[in-house]
Amino acid sequence: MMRVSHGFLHRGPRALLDDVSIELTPGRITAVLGANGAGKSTLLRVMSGDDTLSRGTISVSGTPLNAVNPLTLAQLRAVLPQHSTLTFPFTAQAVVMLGMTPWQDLLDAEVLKKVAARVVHELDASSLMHRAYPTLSGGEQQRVQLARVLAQLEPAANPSGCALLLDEPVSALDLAHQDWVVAAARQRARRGMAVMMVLHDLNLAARHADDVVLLRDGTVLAQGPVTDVMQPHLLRQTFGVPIDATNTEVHGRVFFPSSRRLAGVVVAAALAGCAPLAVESTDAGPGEHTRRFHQDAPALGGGWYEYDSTTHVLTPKAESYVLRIQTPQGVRHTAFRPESYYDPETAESGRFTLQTSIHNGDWAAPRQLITSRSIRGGDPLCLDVLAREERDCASTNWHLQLRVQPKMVPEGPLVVAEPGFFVRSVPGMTEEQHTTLATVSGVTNLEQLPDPSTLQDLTDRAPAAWGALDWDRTHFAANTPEAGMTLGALMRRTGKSDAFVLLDGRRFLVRFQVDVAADGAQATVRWSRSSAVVTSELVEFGPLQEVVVALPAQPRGQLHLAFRAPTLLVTDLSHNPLHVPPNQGDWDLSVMRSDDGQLHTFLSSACAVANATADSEGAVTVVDAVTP
Amino acid sequence: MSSARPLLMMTVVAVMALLLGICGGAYRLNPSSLLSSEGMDLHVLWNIRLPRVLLAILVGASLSVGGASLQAVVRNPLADPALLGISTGGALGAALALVLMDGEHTWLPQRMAPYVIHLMAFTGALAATLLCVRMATRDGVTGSAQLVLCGVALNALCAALLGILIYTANDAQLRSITFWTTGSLAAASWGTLGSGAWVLVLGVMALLLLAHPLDVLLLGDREAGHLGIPSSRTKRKAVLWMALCVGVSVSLCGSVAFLGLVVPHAARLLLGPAHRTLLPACALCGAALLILADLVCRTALAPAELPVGLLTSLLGAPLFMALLLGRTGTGRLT
Repeated sequence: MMRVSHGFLHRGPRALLDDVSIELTPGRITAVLGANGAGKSTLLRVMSGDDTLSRGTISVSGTPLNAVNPLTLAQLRAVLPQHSTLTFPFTAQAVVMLGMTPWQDLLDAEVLKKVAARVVHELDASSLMHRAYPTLSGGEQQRVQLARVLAQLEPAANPSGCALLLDEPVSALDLAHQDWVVAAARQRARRGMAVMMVLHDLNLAARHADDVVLLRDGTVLAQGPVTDVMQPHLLRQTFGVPIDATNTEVHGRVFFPSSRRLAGVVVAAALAGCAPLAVESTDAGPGEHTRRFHQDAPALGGGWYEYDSTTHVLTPKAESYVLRIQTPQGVRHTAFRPESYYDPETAESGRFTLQTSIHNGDWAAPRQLITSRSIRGGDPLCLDVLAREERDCASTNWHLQLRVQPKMVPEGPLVVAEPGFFVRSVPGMTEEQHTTLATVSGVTNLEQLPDPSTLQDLTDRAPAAWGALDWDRTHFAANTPEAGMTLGALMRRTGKSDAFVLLDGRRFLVRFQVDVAADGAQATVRWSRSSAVVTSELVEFGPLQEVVVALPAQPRGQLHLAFRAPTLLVTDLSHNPLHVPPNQGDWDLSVMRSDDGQLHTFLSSACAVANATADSEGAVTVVDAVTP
Repeated sequence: MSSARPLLMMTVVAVMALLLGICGGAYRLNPSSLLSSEGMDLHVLWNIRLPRVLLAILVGASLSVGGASLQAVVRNPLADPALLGISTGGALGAALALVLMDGEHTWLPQRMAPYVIHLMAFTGALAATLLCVRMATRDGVTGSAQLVLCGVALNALCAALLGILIYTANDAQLRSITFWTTGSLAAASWGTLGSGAWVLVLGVMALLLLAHPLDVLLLGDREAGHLGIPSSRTKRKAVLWMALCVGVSVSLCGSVAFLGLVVPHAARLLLGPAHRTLLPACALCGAALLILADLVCRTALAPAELPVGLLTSLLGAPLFMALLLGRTGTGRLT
């Protein structure tokens, strides 16, 4: 019905539209998707005649747009602009009636009123009609404007010659009214109108559109039927963020940016190199969002390195080296394993200093240091950065700073995995094995906790060279350093709570669980050694979730857990419950390893003390739980 | 329609104001014997009162309707022809014409002089409107504060230019220029009416016919375009007729301030912003208000006369301040 062919629009040196060709088909809803500034609204403005193309043509049923008489055009094409300001105190009714302007000389006023009332009813806006437009809320105003726009085409004799252009018609609407509006649009399409909607909600588009146009930087990245175009790899190209798709029973395919429901942990076999890492992007399909970067690891000179996660380049810096991990939102984990490097001087693995800091995006500004620790090469290390939502925003960056000894020589190839997967580099491991591992370990559906059986399953499919991996703590302890597996998964079950599960062959695990509804419960987990704090993390979790915190098992140290929750049930790994009565204060859980290798767990607060011991294998036995 | 009754009331009020204006004054006429008056009564009625009241009706209506249209064009209920320097621009144009047509050098027949003055006043008003709106518009939005500030600047500029003219003017011209800057209906006669009345009638009628496009224009330029209303053409038309109304009004009776602000504002409160009813209401109320204001000016200090422009400013300025305070205080726009 409307067709743009080879449309160009230039503003100064910028091309707002660059060879755009699209067609609106009668009876179909076309959704236009794209990032901010991709040209969606520009396209809509051009199609509604507000802007003229620098080059190219727009036609309405075969006639060039500018050759159509304005009144005729108004009778077969209605436009909802993104913003409308109306400051004069018209009633909502009067605003809707203004939409009837093209028909006022043709049809009786009473007829037009009836038609308008029907549209208003369709959008659930009848109750607003006698209120002054400027006093309506943003969403109500949007509904009134939409009613005006829909009313404009309502008297048209031939709906299949009509086009409805809507720029973000649901941007200010609540969920219920989004449905009303989409239903109204669908109703128009059923009558034969061509409907074009600029949308931001992928799922709305996936569910309700027939055709989809993806715009990026003024060009059409893809267009066609919704099932063909709404593909994670295309959406990712469109929006510049990884996008997952999950098939659900009720709503069909559901899309979401990966970073928001991040699963898994990164294990980088090592970080090294001054040269760019080879990047392979495998947008293989739904649920898989693996990216692997591997290269022959170069030798690292001493000093700080900066890792840029967007370009995957590790470069030496004059003063400090930052493993820069940008967190658009949500949680991001990274980890690296320095064991594949060793110091040629001493033939020992070198020492690393790892610093984690949070930052507001201004690289020159001072950073807030979160952790700083020294790691001996050969120690498999998993660093998990839990970015808590309240201090996380688009402009926040996590920095991981890595300092290495004067000279580090790689032992094997380097594999860095982006969040979502863990990959481990093992000398001699084939590329295929890497891929397999990365694929099988990705936790793609967060609704399922990676329970022991899942992990076992992963282990079974992992290459044999990796050795046994088991959820059972005792098996961990038995893991050899060489096979020292670092595996973790971060889970977000609800928007409000986090559970943290981490398995590590060389760590002591503490698991705690909130027993009753206690949304927003918090725990601080701190591992200190010789009274110096080594790690400190704040963990937030919801009801009935397990939180497992990994701690270095050696040398002697003290774990300090501070809880803040109405009721807690703390269990150790043998699932011996430590019932903790409701209290109003914080809880301390202390784990001590005595000289004979016994582990002692103390849980104490103002009203209860629990005592537990653990043997050299790490099995914890509760000695007593006393309520004073 | 629900607006029929208020319009009827306004008509009644306007007719009563007309009668009051005709009968009231230093020389009182008896309303019951108006049609059978003779002698002195007839002379006062025919040669003094009637032209004056008719002029008040025309000027009141055209300033109010012009003000309301201007407010629609700039989508800003605070626009007023006097406030934005449009009246002063008209006065400047008129004064310029007067000074240039100095008795000795005039090349025009004397009876053409009023028309030249009208034309120049219209030109001045139009130029001032375009300048002010252009200066205050950024990205298609005409900001209230910006508009008023540009008006202040323009007013100052026109006043300064008028000052220069005053400096060079002779005594007779000086009186006329002062008359234009304060505004008074004292010059009303059948002669002045004959030269300008038809223009004002034309202007008001043209603006009344634009009522619906002006409504649509309030939605926004683009939105109006989508509804088949060519917005820039409509705006141009409205500005042209508005400048004609204001310019000729000024050249007939000088600058009467705040009428174009107060009357549309009150009418909008009573009838809502739809121009189909708002513009007729403005015409009726503006006429009635100016007749009554003129009556007060004629009688309050009788036998001396107060310029009616002073009175409207005296009443309108506080209201304008209240409007400004209300807008900044509560964000309301009317």
